[in-house]
Amino acid sequence: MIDYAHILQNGIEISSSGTTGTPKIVLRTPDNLKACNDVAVDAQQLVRSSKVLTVTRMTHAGGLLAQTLPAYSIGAEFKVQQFNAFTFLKDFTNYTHTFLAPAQMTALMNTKGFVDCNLTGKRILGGSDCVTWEMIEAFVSKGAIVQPNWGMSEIGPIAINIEFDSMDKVQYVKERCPFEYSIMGGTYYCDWKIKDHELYVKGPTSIYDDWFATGDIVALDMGRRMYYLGRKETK
Amino acid sequence: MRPFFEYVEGINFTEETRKKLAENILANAEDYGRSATYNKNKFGKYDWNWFCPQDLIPRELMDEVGKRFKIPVSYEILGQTPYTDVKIHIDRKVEGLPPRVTLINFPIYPFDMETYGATNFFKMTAGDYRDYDNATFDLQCSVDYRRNLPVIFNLQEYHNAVNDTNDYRFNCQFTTGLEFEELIKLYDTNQLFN
Repeated sequence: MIDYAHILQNGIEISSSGTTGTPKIVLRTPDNLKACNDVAVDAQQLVRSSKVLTVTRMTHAGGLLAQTLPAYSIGAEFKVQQFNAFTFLKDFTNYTHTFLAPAQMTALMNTKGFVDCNLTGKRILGGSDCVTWEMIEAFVSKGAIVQPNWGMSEIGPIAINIEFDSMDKVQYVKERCPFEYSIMGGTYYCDWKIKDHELYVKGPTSIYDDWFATGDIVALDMGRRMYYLGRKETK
Repeated sequence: MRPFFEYVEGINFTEETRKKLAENILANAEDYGRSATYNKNKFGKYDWNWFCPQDLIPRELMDEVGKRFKIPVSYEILGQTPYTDVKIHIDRKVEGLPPRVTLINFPIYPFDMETYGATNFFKMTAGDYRDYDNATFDLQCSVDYRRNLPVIFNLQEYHNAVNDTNDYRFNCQFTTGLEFEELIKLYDTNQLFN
C-alpha cells in the first residue's frame, strides 16, 4: 500500500528511465512534488470531482506523478490497477482521466471493443514514448480529449503538451507538422530553450537548479508547437 | 562585406508599414510553408526555414519599397522560428520559381534590432557540399542588423541565418536574377531604386 501522504511530506526517490543516460535514482523533494502536482492539476484540468484510473506501474512517472499523486493532492478519486486491454474500456467507463503509454494505446486500438467505444469527454494523457498521429486520431475520433505529453524523470512528468479535443484540431496541427514528426506540444510548463537543436529545460518541476540538457533534438512550427526529431547522437 | 553583402542606404519601409507587415506576417504565420530538409545531419542539426506563400504576400504593403526598384524584383517573405540555426547553403536556381541570385533583404520582425539574429557568410574551405557533415566552412562576415539597414545578399556565396532567441524572425525580401556585382554597380551608381 502506497502512503501518498508520506510521499507528499517527505518526497520520494524514483528511478529514471535511462533515456538520458544510465538509469539513476532521482530524488523529488516535497517542494518539487508540489510543483509537479500543481502543473499536472492545471494541465489536465484535474478537479476534486475528477476520477483517475491509473493503469501504469507506480514506479513509472506516468503512474505515480502524472495523475495519481496530483489526484490525491486535491482529494480527487483515483484507482490503481494493472492494465488489461480487454477490460480497460469497460473499467474506464466511470472515470474521467487516465494515462496511457503508446503501447497501451495500440493494444486498445486492436481490441474489438474499441471500434464502437464512446470516450466522449474523457482525458487521456499519453507519453513515455512518442504518441503517433494514428493514436491521436483513433482516440479523438472516439470522443476522447487526447494530450500527448513530453516529460522526463529529471524535469517532471508533465512539461510540454498539447490538447486535442476535436478532429478538426488534430487535422489542423497535423497539416502543419513537419514530415510527420512526433508532436511534443505547444503548451509549456517549464522554461525552455534550444541550443544546437537540443532542448534545454528548467523550472520548479526540475530536480536541477540550472538548465538541463535533455538530449532531445526538437524543432518548432510556426505555431510554436514543438516536435521531437530524435535523440542527440553522442560523439 | 563585399562580395558577400552590402548595406543599403536611402530605402526602407516606414515604421508604420513595418509594423503593419509584422502584424500581417504574425497573423498568417501558421499558414506559411516550410522549407526544410528531413534528415538531421550527424550532429543532430536540421534545416528549417519558413516562407510566405505567394497568395498571402501583402503586396500593397511591400509595394512601398518594391515599386521603387528600377529592376524586376520578386516579393518574398522568409522567416525563422525561435532558436533556428539554418543550414549553410547557396541558393539554387530553380526553374519556375523566382530567381534567387541576389536579394535585397529588409528586416521586419523583431523590431528590437539588438536581438535580430545575424546572417552569416562563409567560404567552404574543405570537403564537398554533397558531404555536408564533413565539409568545413569558415565564417567570413556577418550582417549586423543593429545598423537597421536593408542589405543586399549575394546568395551565390555560402550563408545562413541564425535566430538564437525565443521569438520569430522575419524578413521581407526582394529577389533578383542579377549577379551581386551587377546589383552593387546599380546601387553604387544610384540606379537601383528611385
